[in-house]
Formats: sequence, C-alpha cells, structure tokens
Amino acid sequence: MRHIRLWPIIGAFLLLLAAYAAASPAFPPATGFVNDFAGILDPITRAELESRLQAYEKQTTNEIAIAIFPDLGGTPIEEFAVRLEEAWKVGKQGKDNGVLLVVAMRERQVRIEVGYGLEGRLPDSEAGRIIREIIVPRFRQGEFGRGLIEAVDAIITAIGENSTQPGTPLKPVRWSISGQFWLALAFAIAIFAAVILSQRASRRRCPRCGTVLEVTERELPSHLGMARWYRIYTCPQCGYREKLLISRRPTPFGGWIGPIPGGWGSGGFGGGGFGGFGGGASGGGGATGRW
Amino acid sequence: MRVHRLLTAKEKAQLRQAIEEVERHTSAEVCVIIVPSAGDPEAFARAYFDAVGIGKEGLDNGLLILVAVRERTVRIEVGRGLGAVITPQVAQRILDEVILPWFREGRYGEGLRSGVEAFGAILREHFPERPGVPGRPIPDIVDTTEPSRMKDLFGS
Amino acid sequence: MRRIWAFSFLLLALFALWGGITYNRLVRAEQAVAVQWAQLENVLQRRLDLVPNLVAATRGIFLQERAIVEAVVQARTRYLATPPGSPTRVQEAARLEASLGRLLAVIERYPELRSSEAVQSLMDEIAGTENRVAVERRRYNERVRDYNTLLQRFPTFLVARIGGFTPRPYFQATRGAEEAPETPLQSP
Repeated sequence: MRHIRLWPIIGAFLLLLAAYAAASPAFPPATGFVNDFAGILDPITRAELESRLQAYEKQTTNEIAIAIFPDLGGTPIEEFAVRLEEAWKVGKQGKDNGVLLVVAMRERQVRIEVGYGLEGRLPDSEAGRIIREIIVPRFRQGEFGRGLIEAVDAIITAIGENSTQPGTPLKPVRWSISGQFWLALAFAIAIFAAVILSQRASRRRCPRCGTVLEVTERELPSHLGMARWYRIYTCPQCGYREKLLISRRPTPFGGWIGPIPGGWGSGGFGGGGFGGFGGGASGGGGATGRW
Repeated sequence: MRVHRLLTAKEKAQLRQAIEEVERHTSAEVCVIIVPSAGDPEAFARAYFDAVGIGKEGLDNGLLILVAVRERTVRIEVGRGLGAVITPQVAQRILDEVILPWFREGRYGEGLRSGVEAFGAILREHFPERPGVPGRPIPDIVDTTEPSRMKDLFGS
Repeated sequence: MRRIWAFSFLLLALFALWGGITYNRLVRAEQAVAVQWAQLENVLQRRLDLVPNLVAATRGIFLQERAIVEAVVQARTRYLATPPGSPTRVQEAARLEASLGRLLAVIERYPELRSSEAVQSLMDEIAGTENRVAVERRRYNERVRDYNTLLQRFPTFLVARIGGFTPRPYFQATRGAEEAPETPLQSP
C-alpha cells in the first residue's frame, strides 16, 4: 500500500483529458471582441471596433462580438454561428446578453446571432434589416470596415445603452453547480473522517494520572500582528493543561491603491490577453444575409 | 466637437523626421496615431498594438503614442521588450513633463516631436541599433483626422 | 477484527455515496431533457403564433396560391387540436413545418411580395423561428442522447433500474416537403 504506482493513474487522467479536448469542436479561441481570422480589417478599424465594443461592454455588460472567417468549411452559417456561440459563450452567464456577428468571406454570407436575453430588443426582423440595409450594401462595395462599424452602431442603437435585466423566461436551467456540490461534500466527508481518525490516533493520556485528555482548539491573538491556533489538552481529573501551537497566520490589513487616470493622458503597457466572454447562450435567434 | 487637423503638413514632416531619427539609432520602433475619437483610448491603443504588431518580430520593442482628440487623451503603449527601460513611471513622466505642457498650449506638433525625442534619448542609451534586425513596414504616423490619408496607408 | 469492520463499513458508505451521486446524475439528466423539451415547445409555439400574421399578410395578395395558405391554416388547427406531448402532436408539428415550408417557397417566387417591408420582416421572423426550432431540436436530441447513454452504461444501469428510469424518444427531424405527402388540395 505504501508504494502506490501513480503513473498509470496520471496516464489515464491525461488520456481522459485528451479525449475531452478532442470532443469539443475546433474553433479558434476568441482573441477579443473583434476576431478577424480572414485579415480583412485594417488596424485602425479593428482598434476602433474593439475599443467601441469594450467600452460598450463596460457600460452595459452586453457583449457584442465579431468573427470573420475565410470560409466555413461546408457548415451552414446558421449552424456554424450557434456552435461558435456555444464555444465562445458571448454574453454574460444568466443574462445571455450577447450578440455574435459572423462573417464568412468565401460564402459571402453574414449572420447576426442573438443571445436569449436580447431576443426581445433585437428581434430577427431588426437583425435582418441591419443586414439588408447596412451590411450588404457596404460589403458589396468592399467596405467591410465601414459596414461593420455602422452595423455595430445599429445593433447598439437597437439594444440600447442600458444593461440587460437578468432572468429571461426562455433561458434553459443550468445544472453545473450540483456536480461541484457532490465533490465538495465528498471532500468534506473525507476531511471529517481524516480529522476524526487523526484525533483518535492522537488521543493522549495525562502524564500524571493516566486519564484521557480533552482536546480543544482555539485561536489566540498575539501583539505582533499574528494570530495563533493552539490545541489545548486538559485533564478532566487533575486539571493538567498543555498548549500546542498548530499554526500562525498574519492578521490581514487593508489598503490598495490602483492607478489614477489622467486628464490629458495616461501611460501604459502593452500586453494583457483577452479574458474570454462571460458565459452567455443563444438559441438560434437572429438573421442571415448574403452579399 | 468638430475635429480639425491636429498637425500641419510641416509639423508632420518634422515628426516623421524625429521618428526616423529614433529608429535609425535604436532597435525600437515608434508609431504615432492620431484619431478623432477612440472610444476607450486604452482599449484602442492595445487593440491597434495587437493588430499591427508594432515592434520587430521576437523583440516586441514597439512604442505607440495614441492621441485621441475627442477624449483629450494621450495614451502610450509600450512593447514588452522595452518595458524594463520605459517603465510606466518613465512614460508618465515624459507625458506629464514633455508632451502635455505643449498640448495644453495647443502646440500638438511640438509636443509630439519633443515626446518622441525624449523617448529616443532613453532608447538610444539602452537599445542601440543592432544590425540585421529588419523592421516591419508599419506606418510611422497615422492621422485619421485627415481621412484621405487612410487610402495611402492601407491600400483600401 | 475491528479493522475489518471499519473497512467494510467504509466500503459500504462509499458505495452508498456512489449510489446517491449516480441517482442524482440521472435525475439531473432527466431534468435537462424535460427543460429542453419545454424550450422546444416554446419555439414551436412561437412558430405557431407567427402563422396568422403570415396568412394575413399574404392572403390579400395572391389568390391563385390560396390552397397553399389554406393548407397552412388547416395544419395549424390540427396541431392545436392534439394534446400536448402526444406522438400525434409531434407528427402534426412536422406537417405544419412542411406546409409552412411550401408557403415560404411560394413567397420566394413573388418578388413584389418579398419587397414589401411587412412581409420582409415577417420572413425574417419566420426564418429565425425555423432556425430556433432546428437549434432547440438538436439540443433536445443531444440531451436525450446523454440521458439514454447514461441509462444504458454498466454501473449506472443498476441504479437506473432501481430508480425506475426509462429511456426517452428522440424528436426526429421530419424536414419539410420531402416526407410530407404531397396531397392535392382542393380549392374551395
């Protein structure tokens, strides 16, 4: 029992992980709100869209994402968009306030996929109108950047500057908490068992009269900014006491100052990756167009 | 707010000269962008930085100065390769003590040029030009307050 | 001796814990199927609500295609007459989808109809709804598949038997006119 061979277990675990990774469809990870995998946007337009969408997300929590692909590999754009939304989860979890604009260059198709939470504010007819009247005419002239900027403006006008209220009736219930709960419970039981076992093992007898000592644990403050945990053994017969230091930890102190924004300007650094979207979902609402 | 041209042609030529001077003597790459409005200047600068990949491949030694006119904000974005020398404190000092005093007087050309020169002086000390590191063709100055320039710069 | 007792007790406790977890997983999977079914009903209802609008928008304009419009109306009435959740309802849903598909195909042939703003936005809504039905149906079938495989897998299978879980049917996609009988519609 002492030498448990870990390698087979680790190997099996890795294999499982690999199988899991292989099962998910192969979409590239999102690089930001603007994802130009076809390389059609100039840097200024891309930066303009990105900053616009980031600012909008900060203001309203609504997430609008743009994904431009060179081709869809034979998948219909409606299905492609839903799958991409399932992979990226544009929108906040529970609010489902995401809009995903998918552009397929070779197919000359565009789709606006609307999250559950925004179906009321951006109905399919409005999404269709934006595609027909704004995107298609611009795209036909090759003005992709301008078409997207104007489309984003129209989408923002449609869904408004207010943040979305949570709790749409259409949203399916999520069941992700329960698994963690069981894991936590199992963990708690294991710890409980371990504690009981260790206490039984560390049952001590009074050095004076041989009675089993009673154990209590207590946190005692000390003046150096450190709190200490002690285990105290007391003899119920003769009153023998023994203190045993278990751990110490620093007393927390607050105060953290962030960067101060400037009036005409602020310094800064490059880098800092995209953290991903908020966990939204959609159900195939929206519209498709062709240019 | 109506955005008019921030720099005259002469000022722009001088700024270009200053940037070329820095790039000739150091391995760093400097770029100035002027936009009428950037929305969120920080996000804009970062997105532009990522989009063009300012700085030479593998060295990541780009320096971006973004002027967002409507937001009245100058944002300096520094590539990781220069981060050890151009710390946020250094960038903030050049901004506060060199660039912004000129800007407050409305002399944008002077502000940008002396800012580029100030960065250049620091860069020249720490990043002398290394032969054999070709620069990527990235425009030194992008000014979208003049829309006609966009076509020359990016082709479409 | 005590060790053996403690050990077997621990084993029993672990087994009970596994049983509990498995039972809950089954309940969860079954719930997910039910929730997704409700979601599917939701979008089917949405499609249904759109039919009167579509009929109203097109009825005045083309009399020569009246039979097709009438077929849609009839299919809707028949669908509404079936009890919810019954297999006939699923069948009628498929028939309604087929007749709706024919009507949409007809509308595509009339450019002057398509150019009308009202019809255009109605078409957007219908296209969006059809897509929603497809998406929710796929998700429903995926949930059913997850649940059914869980039910048939070896150790879980024991718990499923005791708990009385039964497999659920898939919602077959009877896509459009290919499958629906092309009945000659008598004009009134």
